[in-house]
Amino acid sequence: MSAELALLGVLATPVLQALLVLALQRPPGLRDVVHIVGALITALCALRLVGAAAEQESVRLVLAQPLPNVGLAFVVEPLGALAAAALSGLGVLHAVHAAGMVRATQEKAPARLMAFIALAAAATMAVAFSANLFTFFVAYQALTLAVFPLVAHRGDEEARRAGRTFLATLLTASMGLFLPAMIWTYAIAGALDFQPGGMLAGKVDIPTANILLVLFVLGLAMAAMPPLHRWLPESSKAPDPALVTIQGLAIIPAGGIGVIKVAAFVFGPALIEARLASLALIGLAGVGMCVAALIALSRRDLRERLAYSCMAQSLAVVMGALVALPMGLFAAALQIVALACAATTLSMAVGTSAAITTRRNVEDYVGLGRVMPWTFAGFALASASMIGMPPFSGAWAKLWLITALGAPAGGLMWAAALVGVAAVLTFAHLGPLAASALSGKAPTDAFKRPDGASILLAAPVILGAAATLSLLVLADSLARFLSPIWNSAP
Amino acid sequence: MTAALDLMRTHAALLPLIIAIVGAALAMLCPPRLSWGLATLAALLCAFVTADTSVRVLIAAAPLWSVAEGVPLLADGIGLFASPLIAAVAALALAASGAVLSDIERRTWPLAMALVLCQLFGWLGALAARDLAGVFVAIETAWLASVALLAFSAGRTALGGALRMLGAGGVGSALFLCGVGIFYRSVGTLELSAIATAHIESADAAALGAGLMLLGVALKAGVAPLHDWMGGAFTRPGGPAALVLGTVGVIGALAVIVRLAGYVATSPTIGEGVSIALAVLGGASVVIGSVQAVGAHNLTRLAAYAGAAQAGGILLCVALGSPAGFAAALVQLTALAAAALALFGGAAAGGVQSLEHLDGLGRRAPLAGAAIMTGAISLMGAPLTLGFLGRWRLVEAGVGAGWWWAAGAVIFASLAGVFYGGRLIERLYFRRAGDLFHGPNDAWRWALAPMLAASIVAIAFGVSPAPLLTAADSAGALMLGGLP
Amino acid sequence: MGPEILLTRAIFAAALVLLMCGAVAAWASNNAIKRLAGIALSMLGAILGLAALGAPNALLIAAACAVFVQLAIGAAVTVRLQEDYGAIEAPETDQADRQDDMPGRAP
Repeated sequence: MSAELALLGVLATPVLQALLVLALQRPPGLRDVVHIVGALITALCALRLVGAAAEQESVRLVLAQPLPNVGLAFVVEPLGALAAAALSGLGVLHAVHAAGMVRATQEKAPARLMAFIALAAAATMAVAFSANLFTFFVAYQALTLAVFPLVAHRGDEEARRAGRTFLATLLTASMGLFLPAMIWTYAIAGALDFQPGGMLAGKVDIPTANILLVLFVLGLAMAAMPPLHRWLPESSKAPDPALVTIQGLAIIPAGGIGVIKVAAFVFGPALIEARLASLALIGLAGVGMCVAALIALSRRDLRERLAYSCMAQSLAVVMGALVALPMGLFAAALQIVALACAATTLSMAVGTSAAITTRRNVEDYVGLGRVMPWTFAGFALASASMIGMPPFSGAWAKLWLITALGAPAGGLMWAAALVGVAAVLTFAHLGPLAASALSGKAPTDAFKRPDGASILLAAPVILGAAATLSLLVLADSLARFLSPIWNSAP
Repeated sequence: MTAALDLMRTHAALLPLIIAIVGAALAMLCPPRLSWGLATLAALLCAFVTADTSVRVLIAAAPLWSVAEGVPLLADGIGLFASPLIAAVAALALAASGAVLSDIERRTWPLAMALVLCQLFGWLGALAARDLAGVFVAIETAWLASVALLAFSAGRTALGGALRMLGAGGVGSALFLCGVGIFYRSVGTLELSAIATAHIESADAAALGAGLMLLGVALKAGVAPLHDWMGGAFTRPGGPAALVLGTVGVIGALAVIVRLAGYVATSPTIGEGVSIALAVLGGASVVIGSVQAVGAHNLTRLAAYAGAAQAGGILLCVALGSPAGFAAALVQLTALAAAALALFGGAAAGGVQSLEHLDGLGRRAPLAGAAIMTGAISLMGAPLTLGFLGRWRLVEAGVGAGWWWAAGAVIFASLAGVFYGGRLIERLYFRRAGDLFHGPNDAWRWALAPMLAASIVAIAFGVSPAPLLTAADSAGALMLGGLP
Repeated sequence: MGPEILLTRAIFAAALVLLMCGAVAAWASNNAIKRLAGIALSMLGAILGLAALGAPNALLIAAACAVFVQLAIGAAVTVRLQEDYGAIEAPETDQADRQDDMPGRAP
């Protein structure tokens, strides 16, 4: 398969998958097979593109030319290829899990749920492979619109309110902050194409660079930067398969990818001009991490706890991207992979236990691991990765982040300390939970499904947990793979 | 066939006007349904003739020429671009009105169709007139035809709105005439093509006169804060009145403003004052229209106020006074036309008055729901829609002229669009349908399909808009470079 | 400053006053007949101003025709308002429309 075909495939396959799922709703087995096969094809295409990026093949796809000098274009580069491969690979697990979840919970409108999950995947691939700010903006908006129906899926007043908050926050931030920044960048640079080394390098003065950085980072509300993070806890009442998409596979990773692309391909060395803004944003992200982890500790509902936990992890990506060092960019990229693996696994585990036992509160998890050992083994491993315990992915990402922040060139020991504090607080809200689930006394009351979780529900959790070990063996290779991103960085 | 085509092209300036006015006369004499068919055919013919000229001159770069018709006509860039747009909008609105004619008394159908064609005649005439007197007569023809349409074919509930419309229009006409008088006194001519080279005795007086003229037409275009009449006109109209008023009326008036501004805003002596006035009015319209659209509870009023916000953007483009600004204005005008067709057509298809009637409409009437959704996302300025393209061109032209605040106005309008557009989409697809469906249920409801489909296609034009941009750029350049 | 210029300016000033008074009445009046009178007054002021400024006769005639048509349409609307509502005051007709809009009543 040629790289161009693979690029087209990774963008078009999820869209086709969505249409087929809607068209082939009966029998349910056919719908589920289409959903899983579509995710598998997308993952294979993404894997092919990793090969193309490793060999530095020039692969570009232009779908339209809506504006002079600005096209709807996609390009294969290491960051996008890595993110796409990780997210689409986990997407296969999610597709299997979603098929099991809609059966176990007798979800209403399962085809619609799966279709919008697929559309969200398509938009996320578009974000990852966007070749310029305009394409990124289009894909970002498309992702927001694709996930909105997932948030509002239940159709009751609470879901509609959550959907409104979700849509209003993300669209307002993107149109009110990101779009002006994009226009301003176009006025300065004369183009919008992402360039290793930054399109603003040498073209922007200090005040402009600072203002632009703030507009870009806050405009990417998907990265859950406070105060534009409200959509994340509000959306935590969405159906469990949708939560996996929001927290692990689409929204939060897209925000992280956006921040890294802005730092590396828009600013590049110009990030030094924006030192004041980047320090302020790093501080805001650091404090936000700690506060989010603290709020997570206070939440009894697992979905809300996970939402705040994911917010803390997402802010680590922002910190890494803004450090203006290759180490920081590397840490941010690793953190996206680690976050995707851990958040996906945790969300799937929480969904599985809710489907089998109807339990969602922290106090109800005691001993649950004894009756659902595979699910909670996965939960525990993913929690360890979220906390940053070696040898799991999260540990390597945080190690690089702390190193970057504490390096003499970075000079941000206080920020590194905040990351450490956040890790401790993450342990506080996930560690005892996992431990009590596995070691507490097994509950004796009857479950909603006494025969336990099906293979469709348990296997993806275990495999996702296994994926959290991936960076243990891949970290060095990834450093070489991602090096073209920062070769022109300071 | 070739001979007929050549004859048509030779008299391309006058032919659409003749078709429209003769069509109006014939429609009055026909039985009800036949009058609808005849009127639609006449509008389609107008659209064909004007589009042929536009494509030849603006895209194929054929030389612009015409024969002296005995009627004072002047073809310019704006007229060439806007005439086929208005004619096409009128044809679609007339076709769609076949679905809602049953809302009004059968005996008034021929009158209604004739009045729509009179509106078309008026706006096309205003875009082709050679002097300000001709522009005045044409505008009055169009305006009074639209008032009569609202008053006599829309049921008793529209009478109050018609009277408000008449009052506002009277004030607008008086301001226009006053402006013409002051302008004539300072410039010494009423001929549009002579303004650029005329000896202007008093620049301030000429600017005041030009400003009053533009103000008079802006009142009829529904530019905020002069749009008080719109509330009454759009709240409860029956039949085709809302369809036609919201599309043909608004687009026609805005096109005339753009044309007049092309002659006065670019004059070295008086241009600066006129530009400032247009910029202030445009900015106010963007803000006021957006805020009112956010608070609207009636779909047609929401569409009217959103149109006022878009109109403000058009005035901002025109205030720039550059070819890029005029090109951006024409792109925005096209975007507004498409969004207006989508929203007013969708409202007619669903029988939507208050926003509650939208609940679940996306499932009950998929095409209407898709059209309203497309119109909403275009008004939001979502990328790859015509609405985004128009706003981008405004920002590009504004930033090029150092008008950074114009970008702010665009952002404000987009943000407001997120709120009121998002509200529409949520009701269409995420709420359960109510018990009653208020839209037309007979076979004639398919008459709305061309309007709805055309609006969706037009908005999606934002994906690959090269021909539109070429035509707009050519029109802007021709407008400013075509003056002697 | 010659007497002719003074006269012209005086006529123009009077025309402006007529126009503004008529505009206020046409815009803000609740009574249909007062609204029509306002239209007539403002257009009269505009025509007077045109004449004072020396506009061509064709324009004056066109303006006069426009006034005539506006008043004709306005009069027809007023008559219909009286026939349908029994009133020509905007608050009364708006109230009647609101009652028509109430649930259970035909639109």
